[in-house]
Amino acid sequence: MPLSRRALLRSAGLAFGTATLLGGCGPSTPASAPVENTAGRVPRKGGSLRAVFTGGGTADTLDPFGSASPVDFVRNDVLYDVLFSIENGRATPRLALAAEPAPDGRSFVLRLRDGVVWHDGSPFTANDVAYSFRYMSAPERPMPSELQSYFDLGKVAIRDVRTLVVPTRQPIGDPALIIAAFLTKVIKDGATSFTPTTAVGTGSYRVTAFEPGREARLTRFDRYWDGAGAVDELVVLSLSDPQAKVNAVRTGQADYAGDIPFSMAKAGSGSPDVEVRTAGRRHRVGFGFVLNATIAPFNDPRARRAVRLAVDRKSLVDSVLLGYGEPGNDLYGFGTDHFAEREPLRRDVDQARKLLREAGAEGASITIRSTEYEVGYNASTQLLAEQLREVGLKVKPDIVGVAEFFEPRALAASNGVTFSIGALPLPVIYARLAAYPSLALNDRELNDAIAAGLAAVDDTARRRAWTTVQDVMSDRGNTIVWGLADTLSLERKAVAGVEVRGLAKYPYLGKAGLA
Amino acid sequence: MKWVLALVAGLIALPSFAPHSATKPIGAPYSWPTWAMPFGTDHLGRDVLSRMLHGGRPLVLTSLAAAAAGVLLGAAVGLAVALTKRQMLMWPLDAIAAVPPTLVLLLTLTAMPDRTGLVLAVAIAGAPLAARVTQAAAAQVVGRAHVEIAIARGENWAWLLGREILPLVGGTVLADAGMRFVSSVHLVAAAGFLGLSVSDSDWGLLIVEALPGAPLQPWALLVPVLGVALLAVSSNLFADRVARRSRGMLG
Amino acid sequence: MITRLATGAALLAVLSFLVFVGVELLPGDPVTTRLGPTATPERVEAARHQLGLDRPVLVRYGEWASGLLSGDLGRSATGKPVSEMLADRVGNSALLAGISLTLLIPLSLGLGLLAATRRVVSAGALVLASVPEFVLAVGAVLLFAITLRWFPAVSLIPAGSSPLAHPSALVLPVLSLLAVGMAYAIRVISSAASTVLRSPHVEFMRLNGIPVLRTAVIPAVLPVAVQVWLVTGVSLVGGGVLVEKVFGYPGIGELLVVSVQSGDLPVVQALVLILGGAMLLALLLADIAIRFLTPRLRTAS
Repeated sequence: MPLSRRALLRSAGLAFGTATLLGGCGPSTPASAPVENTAGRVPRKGGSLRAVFTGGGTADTLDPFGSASPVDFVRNDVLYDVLFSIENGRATPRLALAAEPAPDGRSFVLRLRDGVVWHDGSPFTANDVAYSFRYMSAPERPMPSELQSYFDLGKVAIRDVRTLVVPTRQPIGDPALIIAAFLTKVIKDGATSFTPTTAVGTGSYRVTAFEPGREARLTRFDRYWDGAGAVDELVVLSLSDPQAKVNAVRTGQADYAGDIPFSMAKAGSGSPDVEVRTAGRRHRVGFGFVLNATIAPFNDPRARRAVRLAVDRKSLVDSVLLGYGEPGNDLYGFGTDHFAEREPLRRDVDQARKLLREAGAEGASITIRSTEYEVGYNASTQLLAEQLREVGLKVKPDIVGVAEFFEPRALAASNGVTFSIGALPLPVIYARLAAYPSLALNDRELNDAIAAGLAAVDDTARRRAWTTVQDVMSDRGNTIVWGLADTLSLERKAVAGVEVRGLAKYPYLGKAGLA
Repeated sequence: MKWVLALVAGLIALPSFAPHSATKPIGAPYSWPTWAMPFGTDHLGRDVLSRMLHGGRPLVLTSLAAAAAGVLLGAAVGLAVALTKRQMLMWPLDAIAAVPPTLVLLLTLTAMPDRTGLVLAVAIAGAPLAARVTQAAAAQVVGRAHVEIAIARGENWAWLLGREILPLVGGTVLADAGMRFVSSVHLVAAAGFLGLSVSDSDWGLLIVEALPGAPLQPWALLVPVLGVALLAVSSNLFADRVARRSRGMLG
Repeated sequence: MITRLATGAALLAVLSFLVFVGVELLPGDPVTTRLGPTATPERVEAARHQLGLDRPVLVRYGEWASGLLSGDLGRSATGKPVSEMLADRVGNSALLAGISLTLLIPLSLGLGLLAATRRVVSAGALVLASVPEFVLAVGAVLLFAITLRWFPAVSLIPAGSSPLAHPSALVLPVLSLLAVGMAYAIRVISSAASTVLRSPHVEFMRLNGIPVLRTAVIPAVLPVAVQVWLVTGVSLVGGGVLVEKVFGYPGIGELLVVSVQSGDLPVVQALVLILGGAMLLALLLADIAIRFLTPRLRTAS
């Protein structure tokens, strides 16, 4: 189940700019708890909203399948619609109404919404969806869609103007969830370029001006099928430095800054009409490490368990997350369907030493590869090194640049890497971990259960399969999720209607405005 | 003059006096100063004083090594150009001089993210200027009567360099070395700012790590900034002093 | 003069080769950057061939260099033409450096001359030169934007308009750049001035009541000053890397940091070459200026 770099970028919440400023930490409880975003007030009609996100400089793009930085994801989410989005860990119909698997699981019928129009006024049809499937998975594209590895997108059949039949490559019980997970945005039949004049979507805003690395000006699309947005104009700003994002809101140059570092949140809003907000507990991001189970010492399950026993989760949460979060239980996928809510392992240094001794890994030297994809990655690696020293493991943090982090050979040579995933569906999370041989856990019971979870049509069977998956991971897994981190934003108090669809780092602004 | 050398020597020796480890947390993150930890703790709860004391040595040694390497390389090329009058030898260095130092640093450290890379980057960034300065100083000396006489006597190059040229050029080169040291200190700090730090307690890294939390614990930022500034001012004064002396010698 | 020009051209060639090879050595493979890490080996091989990466470095350098001569900077890892990506950015950075330099010339000359006789000024320049530039920039933001609210903290320039249309967004970046360039310029100019002031003929002129500043000091200092200004002007473009980053200013410095971090090598190669070429041009102009400003050299040639 391969995954493209783009999916990794999005799921890991890769923010190029955050590489420069190490996020901080602080006293164990936040000075003032962040305000939860979902306390939804209704934005009033009119005005404009200025939101700033981490951008990729001149690489910023209106191409919905070329997005690589947070600002791209957020902007393109309001310009284009997806077939299904993820809300509360489940697929929610957007441009599609349903994806019904055939009894043999070899195909599914995709039914589309009626009455949707493109920004240029033409009607949305099955031809657009078939074209989008072909376009996103074309092998000559820079980053072809990984949807291709689940569905045979070259053989999509159009049954009528609202219905398509899509063949699958393996039995898929909930095709809508897979479609939602891989951001299946729909572009107009025949679209090949995405400039401010040619970027036509069905989203609630259309683009009027765009300058990569600076800003996009979006105007409300009044014929939007899901009800027009609140503000007349949405300005999405692109900055590469996290402090600059925060400063922009503090000084009134912007209304909203997405995904701000913990230390800057801790330092306070700096202005009476600005506050720090969180997307809420359900949207917390799992911060952790993945151990390389293909080489010594972590090819021995006892050595893996020893590390899980040696980690001081509380201290990591207090220092790296500055208290904006809670200890994790070593499983990724908190907040989504079928996630196993277990108690985190308790720290037991003696037991950890004993297991290491049994595994013959006492005093072993290991390297942990890290880069500042997310604020706190490098700090967590440094602290882990200190904590593992107490059980006699010599850890060398291998801190590299963002561009080279996923270099396969170097990954394979490391004993572990820093890793974080937000509240994505479990099939996506385990596909992600399997994408790199050195991050995958090659375990027959695990892989069978993952395949069963993917194929299961009814919810009971799904739950059974994912419980088995998480039992295996809790017993002999190679993931150490030490903490669940809040996703923080700095907002003017008047900002309202910001929604989370999928990951909190890339909020949906199509309904946002000022109250 | 002597106190500058004492400062540098002190910074190299100081880690032995640090009360705590540079990497191990000893309290809550961003704790304010107390008697036990006079500058408070940093973003991970590590003792700022201990990190300063531990960080002085890598900063000074890295900057010294980089300045020395840059000056040696530059001086060698500069002397060679002055003696042989072949300007072409200077070309590779001139080409490098055209690239801003921050850029040299960014590129070299991305390719070699370790201390060798840092020394190399700072040395490469400094060598062209050192070469120019040495060449200028040596060119004046080469034209002098005693050197011309020595050349006419058929003395070999080593003798010429050692006896006739180096004693006169040395002061200038040393003054330049002081300048190189200052810019090395700044570049090592800038490396930290660009997220390319190579040690766990370089002062540059300390500054960068303290920036986002400065409103929470300003000492964690002020102390390393003052440290870098103090080291730079001292080295600048040292370079000025040496330069003035060498001018006296040449004049 | 012709030899100087030829040298400049040769240097540019040396530089372009160093840049090309140097940047090739950076980690991060353009093919895996483009295709994602899960592409099959055959796809990687095909893309490598398609992009011509399977040929020797020298051949590729030759193509890149001949492309440069016709103004083609190649394509970025994102697929966009590099020249298109750089067009506005180069102008924005040049604007920032240009304004800073315009202010720097009179200020550094005045303060440099003053520093030759007033210890306070030279001490001030020394302290300024001792603080890392990013600390100056961050300090400026804290004081003038966050606390005093005089100027915007971030240089947000609306799409489709030039920074020139938003002068308030330029103030703090210019101030920070000015501080960076100023410290060095003041120190060099004051050092040149104090040498002149101590010379016997200036002493003689002063004793005879001749105004030394205009007749002796400025003419003697000017050649040095011009060289410093030109070199500083260019280094402000590249040295603005950190300053642009702090202010989110849409120039090449900010682009450079982002491109190095994301492994977009063609953009990095183009940027380094542009900055280096500009510096070589400045050095050439400095040499010419010195020839004109120094009577001894003018008559000699």
